Amino acid sequence: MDKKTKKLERKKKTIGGGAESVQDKSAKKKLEREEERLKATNRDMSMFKMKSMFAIGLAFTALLSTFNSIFEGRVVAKLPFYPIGFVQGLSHRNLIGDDMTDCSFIFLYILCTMTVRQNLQKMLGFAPSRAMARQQSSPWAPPSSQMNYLR
Amino acid sequence: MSSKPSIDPTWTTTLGKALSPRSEWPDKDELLDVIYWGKQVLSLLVGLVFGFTPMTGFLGILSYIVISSVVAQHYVTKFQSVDEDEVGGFWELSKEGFGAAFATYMVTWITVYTYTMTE
Repeated sequence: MDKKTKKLERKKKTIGGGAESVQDKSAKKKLEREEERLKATNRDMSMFKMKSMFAIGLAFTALLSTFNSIFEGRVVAKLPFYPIGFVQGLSHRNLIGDDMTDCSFIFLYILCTMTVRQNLQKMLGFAPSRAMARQQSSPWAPPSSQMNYLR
Repeated sequence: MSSKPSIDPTWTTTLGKALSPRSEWPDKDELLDVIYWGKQVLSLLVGLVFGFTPMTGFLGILSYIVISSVVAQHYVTKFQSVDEDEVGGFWELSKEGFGAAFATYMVTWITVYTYTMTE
């Protein structure tokens, strides 16, 4: 998807800089068809991603409840800072005592999940594509109604 | 209208480019990827240093944010000599991979600090 989007971006730039001609118009039509195909693929991908996200959500919930039964009520770390109001709810969850620098497992679990999940996504190439994000809000991609005169 | 076939750079070539000054970055996303992983490494290092020092309080968080933003900006503009507007400006550079890098920093800082305190 990322490669295709980048290829399309490059093509758009080449055509955008060219002069108006019959050949140019046919190239633009071809480009639009490609864009439509890319959008369809993107829709299919979104559906697939939604399903996998649901599965990941379930897996992480299961993992959370497992860890919860092991570490509940235990101080797993000492925080090097005094957490502010709403963070205290997480960092001191189910802990006894008034020392707010005591850290419950849930706070560390959330941080670990954030770092591991995003880095794994990036490493394995499942991270949201920048090229796709640009494509969706790109100045090169005007709404289809504006491009109708080319058809 | 012939387009050149694009060859995906391997991670070794990207690393080589990232470590040498004033490299050519025809694909700006590649440079943003370098910034992402660079921030991860920086977070790990800063977390280790602040944990062992030990740095405490919100000064630790604020210092990390400042260090991360300034290093990323200097790397792009000074070391690589790329116009920062080409990669989206200062804000975009600071935002790139911030969530994951901040989480990495927090985990390292907290873990190392706890280890230092219990030793």
